[in-house]
Amino acid sequence: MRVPTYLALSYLMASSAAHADEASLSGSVGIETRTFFQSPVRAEQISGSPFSITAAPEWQWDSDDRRWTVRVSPYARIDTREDDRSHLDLREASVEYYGDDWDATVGIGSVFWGVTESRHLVNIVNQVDVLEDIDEESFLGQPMIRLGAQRDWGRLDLFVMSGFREREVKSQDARLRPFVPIVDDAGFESAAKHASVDIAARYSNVIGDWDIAVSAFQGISREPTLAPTATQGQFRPFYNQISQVGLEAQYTTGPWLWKLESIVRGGQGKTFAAAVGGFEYTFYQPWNTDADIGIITEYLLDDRGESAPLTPFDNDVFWGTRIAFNDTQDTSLLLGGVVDAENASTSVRLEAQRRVGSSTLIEVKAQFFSKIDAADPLVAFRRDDHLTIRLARFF
Amino acid sequence: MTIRYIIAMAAAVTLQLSPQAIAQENDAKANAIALQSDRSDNGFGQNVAELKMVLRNAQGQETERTLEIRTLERENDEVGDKSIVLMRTPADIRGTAFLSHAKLTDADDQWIFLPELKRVKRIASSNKSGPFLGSEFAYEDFTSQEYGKYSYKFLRSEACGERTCDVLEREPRYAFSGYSRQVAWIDQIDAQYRKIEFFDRANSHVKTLNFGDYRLYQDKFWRAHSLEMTNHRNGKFTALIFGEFDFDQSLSARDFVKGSLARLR
Repeated sequence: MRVPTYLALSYLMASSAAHADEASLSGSVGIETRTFFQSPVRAEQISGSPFSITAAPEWQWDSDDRRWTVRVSPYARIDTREDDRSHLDLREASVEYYGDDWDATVGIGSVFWGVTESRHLVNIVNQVDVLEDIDEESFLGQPMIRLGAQRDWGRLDLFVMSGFREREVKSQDARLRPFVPIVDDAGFESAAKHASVDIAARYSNVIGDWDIAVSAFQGISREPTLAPTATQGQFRPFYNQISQVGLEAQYTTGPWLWKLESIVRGGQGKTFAAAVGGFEYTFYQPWNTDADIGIITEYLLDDRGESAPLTPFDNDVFWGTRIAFNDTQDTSLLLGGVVDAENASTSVRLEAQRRVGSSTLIEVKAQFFSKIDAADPLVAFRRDDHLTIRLARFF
Repeated sequence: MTIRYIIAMAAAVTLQLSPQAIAQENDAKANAIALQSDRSDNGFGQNVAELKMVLRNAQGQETERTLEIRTLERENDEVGDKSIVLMRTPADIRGTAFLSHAKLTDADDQWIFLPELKRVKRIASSNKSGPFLGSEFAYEDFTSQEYGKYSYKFLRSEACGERTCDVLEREPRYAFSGYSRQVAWIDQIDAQYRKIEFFDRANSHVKTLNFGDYRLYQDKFWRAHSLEMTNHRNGKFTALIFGEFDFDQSLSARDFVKGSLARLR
């Protein structure tokens, strides 16, 4: 039998199979440029191509018996132009315990809830890191105690959280920020402010072709409203106490994924409901290619009142396509747009990525705003079309 | 080989059965061989192995991935095994994990964990014939050789290396398989698969899989440590090179559910 040279590698691998009781360091460092195509709405906002350096190391230790995991993952960005886009955050710094019948996390953690693509309505534990992007897919670490149980009846997680993380306020020179000046001096409904205690619970289960979850949250809203300050025309973030229940459902059949997320929230003016639902359909290897092409359509509805934080997603349609090229470099592309059903305001986003070599990722993101109505919350971004190119080295 | 088979063959010879009856008997023989191979793995419980995936294109350029596979034996003959594939390299997809609950004649249930967002997604898996991780293995080639996934026909016995193999033709029972049929070589000593040829829907021979470096665990369970897939259509090649299989991890059904996917370690 032919003996390929790489067979020798298998012996190296066999000897390094044990991962327990040893620390591992992984993560990435990246460089990024973001180019804005138009001059800004306001003179003090930056223009051109700001440049950033990012670092996201992750250190992890697993005990020999696999009962304990310690995880520390800081995140840092240094931006050369926008004053306050440079920031440092502890995404995770936690101890996890895995028992036979239950598991727990103590420390700073990250948790994601949700099924839909265009908006993450139900997701509430972690504050959005708005300095990273406007896609609400980066989050700040949240101090928590989590208790979970995985049983025959499904999974239940209980959360007690304190040490509230405010949504960062962008500096006056930043792009992709609201028109009005906002001072970084948040107000709180709760007298305990950051020290007040939030609680949450989520039950999830898989029943045949259905993946469902219901959740409840009581505590500080992650989304602030804007409150006027003593200075005319100036605002500050204000954080209400809210109660929110959420529903996530996905029905999977053949090439179809049907998805729904919905919330009901009280505490910011009138109690309101919001939902996002739709489908993703996948064409497998069309035209004799290796690629999978998914078509995504979602409808977004939100009936929040004027006392609630602004949202552009009051009555919108999302369409998108996702292409996975299934190549050795894991090339993928996502193109999507959200169109307001009432005023036709449109935002379009393109995300593409491909590995070059064995551990470098090149990522391109483009965001365009079109036909933005003067009454739409996106109006502040109307001249903020931009292209982000990121090169990240993973280790 | 079963006693029933021997009696039936004797009957066929003495009674000079019709060609149809002989064909049926060949199917029975093929079923018995495939079932014996399937049964040889009964009772393994669970195992964990690291493996390297070497992808080579027609120009000879190689790229590599390393992954860990955790397998939990099926509960019964009506379903397939449960498995978790955990990516280790390339580093940018480290920690990405696939959980699947295999079905024999239906779409599997599959979830993916994306570590960057800590997000678990149920994914559509009705198509099992796409390239798995950019390799020449389709997802359906990658999963285990469960008896109930196919219907069988006996073709012949012939030498395969130093051994003698029974050669079976098998037809996927899953309606959306990428293959019209496969031809499989099972050795007569240990009842393990040695080679499989894959024929696409147009019945052309598209790929060949060779199994090698079989090692015996616990005096009972054979595991191939080298799987080499050659794609005859595009000239590409993928090798899976396994490290030692570990049968002693304390994994349970609870480790193979969606709710545990975000807490792999």
